[in-house]
Amino acid sequence: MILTRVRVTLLLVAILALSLMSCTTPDAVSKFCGSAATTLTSANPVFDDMKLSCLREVDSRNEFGTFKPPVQSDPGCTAIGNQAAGAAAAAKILSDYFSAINSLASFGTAKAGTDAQNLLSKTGAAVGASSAAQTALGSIAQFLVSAATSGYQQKQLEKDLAKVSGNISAVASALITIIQDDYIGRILKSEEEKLGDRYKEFAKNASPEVKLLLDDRWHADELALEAKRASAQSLVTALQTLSKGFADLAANAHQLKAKEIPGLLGPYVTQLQTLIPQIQKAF
Amino acid sequence: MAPPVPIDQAAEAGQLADLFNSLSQALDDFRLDDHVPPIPTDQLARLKDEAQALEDRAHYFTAQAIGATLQSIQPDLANIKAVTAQAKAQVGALNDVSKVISIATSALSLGTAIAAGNPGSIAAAAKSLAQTLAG
Repeated sequence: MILTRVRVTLLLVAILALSLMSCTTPDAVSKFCGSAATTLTSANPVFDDMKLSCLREVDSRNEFGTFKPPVQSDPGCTAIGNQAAGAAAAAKILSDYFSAINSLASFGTAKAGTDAQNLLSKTGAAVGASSAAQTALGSIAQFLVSAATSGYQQKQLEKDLAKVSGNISAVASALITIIQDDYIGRILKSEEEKLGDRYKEFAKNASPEVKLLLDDRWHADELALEAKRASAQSLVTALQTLSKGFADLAANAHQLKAKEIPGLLGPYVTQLQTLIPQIQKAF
Repeated sequence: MAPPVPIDQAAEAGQLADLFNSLSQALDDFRLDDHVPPIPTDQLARLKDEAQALEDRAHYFTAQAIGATLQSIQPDLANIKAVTAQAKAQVGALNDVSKVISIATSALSLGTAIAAGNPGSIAAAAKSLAQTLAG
């Protein structure tokens, strides 16, 4: 009689388990959020270089051979640096969000269930229940706590994803504008132009041998600039990927089945993990 | 009457930065070109100074453009911050559930040891409970 009741309970429990598991997969969400947080952290050197690039440009106003130490401060570059610090702070807020969601998604609900099973086994032993009943009791307890915590985790994740879906896209888009238009399109471009002018000015009345040497040095400087531009462009692509992946996740968090979430987020995670070393390459 | 189109401050400042950068570059290109007769040295120096002043203006407007872009996302950042705090609290709630179960398990072990009257087991269970409470 007791065993029949246990079997019925376990059957109900199994049905409940299946219904709980049909929502999002925290593990896939955790992987995506972890990659997103790493991407955003790797953006810091790019934002730092906004002021440094400006200072290099100001520095290039000195002719070769003046032997002046590099410029440490300039009002315009300081203004750019202050705003770049604001952009880095915005990226940090985004990164903190993804880290918090990562913690929530990666919380080990199974461990809570095991702890509960231990508790119930000990309770069973204390009251002298039979071995079979103890096992059944432990299994039910493990499931109930695990289901309660994972159900809570699931519900909160869905809420936390939906609440900021528009905000994440807006912030990512603003950071893309700052990197694409202001850093690549203005600051780095200006540094490149003025660097070229510095070489042209010095080469104007120079001998062919000196011109060849200058040409070599200019190529080396140009390659360094090109590497920075490529890294920044990788960051732009990563932010676009992050924004699109998050929008997909937030839009589908309620209706996708567990097995579909890794399929949805997998390509975004792969792309982010490929882009992160490319962002770090020049800095 | 149609409502006025809102001004995109970031775009406006960015366009001004581009304009001043182009003017600066045009002056430098002119200065570095070959001229017949050659431009006097003092005028070349003045052209260089003017190009630098124009580039400084470009820097100023670039900073303004970034500032305006950041200003436009302040409400988004505030909401993200609030939801981040909520997510952290939710992780805290999950940790609390785990902690309660661990404490109950340790307390039960201590109770069982006391009932059995084994001093060694009582000491070990008490130590375990103290560690769980401290953790």
